[in-house]
Amino acid sequence: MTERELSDEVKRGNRRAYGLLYECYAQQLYRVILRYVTEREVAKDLLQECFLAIFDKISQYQYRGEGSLLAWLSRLCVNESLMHLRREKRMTTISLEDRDDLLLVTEPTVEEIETIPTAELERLISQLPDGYRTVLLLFLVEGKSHKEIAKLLGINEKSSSSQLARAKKQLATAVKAWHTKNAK
Amino acid sequence: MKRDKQQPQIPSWLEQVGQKLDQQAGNDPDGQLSPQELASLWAGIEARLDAHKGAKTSPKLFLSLRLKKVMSYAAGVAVLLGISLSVYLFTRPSTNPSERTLLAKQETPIAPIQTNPANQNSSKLPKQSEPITKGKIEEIVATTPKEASISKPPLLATTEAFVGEEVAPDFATIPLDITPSEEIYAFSSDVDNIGVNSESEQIDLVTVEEPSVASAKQTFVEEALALIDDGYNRKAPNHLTLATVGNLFSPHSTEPLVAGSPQFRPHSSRATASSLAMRGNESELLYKHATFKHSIPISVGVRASYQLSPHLALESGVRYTLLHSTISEYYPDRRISQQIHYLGIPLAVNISIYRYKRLELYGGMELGVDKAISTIFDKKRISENPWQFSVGAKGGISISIIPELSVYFSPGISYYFKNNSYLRTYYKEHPFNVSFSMGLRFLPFARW
Repeated sequence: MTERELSDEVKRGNRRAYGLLYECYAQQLYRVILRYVTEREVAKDLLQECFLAIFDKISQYQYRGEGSLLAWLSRLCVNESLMHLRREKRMTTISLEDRDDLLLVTEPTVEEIETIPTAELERLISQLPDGYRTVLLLFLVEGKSHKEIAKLLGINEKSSSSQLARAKKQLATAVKAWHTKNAK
Repeated sequence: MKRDKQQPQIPSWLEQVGQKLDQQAGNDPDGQLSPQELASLWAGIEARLDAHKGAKTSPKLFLSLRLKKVMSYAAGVAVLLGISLSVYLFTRPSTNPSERTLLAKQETPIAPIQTNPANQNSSKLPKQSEPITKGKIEEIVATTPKEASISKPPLLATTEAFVGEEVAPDFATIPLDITPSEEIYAFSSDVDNIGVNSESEQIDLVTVEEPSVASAKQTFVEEALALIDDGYNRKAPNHLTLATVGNLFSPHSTEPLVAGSPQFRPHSSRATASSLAMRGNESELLYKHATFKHSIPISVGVRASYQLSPHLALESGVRYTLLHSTISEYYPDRRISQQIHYLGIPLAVNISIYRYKRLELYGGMELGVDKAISTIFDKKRISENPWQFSVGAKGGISISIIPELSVYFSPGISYYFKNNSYLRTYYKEHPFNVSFSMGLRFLPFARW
């Protein structure tokens, strides 16, 4: 069954298509959620909520070529995760005056990033504070602008920019530390 | 990376991070769900889908979700409109003409009675109380012993003109709140200057113009009283005649109109006798022409609901209703009150429109049967205890506190049917009215 056929069957309310959709995308969507919500149990609960929301809103999905279904599903899961973070008030903002942690650090090279396993890179990102991690992921993975991030998270643009800068610095430090540790 | 817009420049290493994350190729076991976890999560999803009537009807489910949203907004707007309308009805000034008359009269100060030649020409005063005038003409015609005919608009003399003359004592109990221009009706027989045809006992216009006609007026008054009493005796009980007199002589005729003014003490034995008779009978016409100001009905009660089907519930209970009215122009010198206490049984059928967790929106029809259990008029209990039937439609919102108990807010409209009672009530004068009720509802058989 193609992506289009699957989405059409789900739209018709075919229960077997529901199951198939879940089988095909549950793991990937779980990983998407887990980037934003690092606690596994919370991520599992959110995955359930996301699938219920998917079945509820599937009529809004429009097929736009292969991969568009996964993109739509991922976007929905990101939104649900952000809503969760906002509900939990975990989106802390940091004063712009506090710029000590923005002092320049040695940035990793592209090669250093390539050599680090993806799972390890994800683990390093997951260790960032919620606010930093969320802004970094929205910026890097979802391709959102600071204006969009600010709107999504209910913060101002400057705060988004500031959090990205801090996330960048912390991630660079963590990558360097990982290489130092694994080089030995 | 999905980023294709103009973004701030980012370092190449970070761009590489984005690309790696985008590949989603991580094999971190912590980032994977085990088959058991996947199955368990799916079971949970299926259970919740079933709770929403399952995937088989999902298109309907989605449609109904949208419909429910619209219905929720509509119900919210209806509730707000109901509240606003109730507040408006509660606070607006009365539109009842008789109540407006009362307001106007309340503003008229009770001036000491005096003779003022400038005011004696009653024909120049603005005409007032048109409804009462017409009504009284008809009533007098209907009850005149010899089929009296009206040759022209009846009556009159101003209050000041009457009381300023020697005959004033006979009118000492003219209601204090009669305005200077108010007209007073009387029968007449053979007084020349008031144009009365003695043969036919016509009702005619009486205009008191000069002090020199005082004796004639006294004669007129006595003749009128005799005629009225005569009519009353022959056609007793003739409330209409009595009421006509009642407007001239109040039930409080034994009291002085103005303290320390002996000329205003009543001394007409016939007037007093008529007044007393009327007082004893609680003249219906006097009651009919009194000015009522009705308070908003207050109703409290207990209701129980029985679920006939998932969407249909039968509701009944018992309610107590108080109708309170303030009456003026019944007695000349004071206001009195009327309180009717009802005990009733409402019977309603509610249709559930939307239910979400503990919240329910519903609409329904209601029949009501209320029986007056006590009617208190001027602090005295009277024997008139009418039935009152009503029908209504309502909307409502209820929130369950526990399965067996919910709190509800319900605006609605009701129609109160006429009954045969002469009692003037809020329901009689406002048969259509908007209500807004709130309370607790017991659902003895409910289960979540």
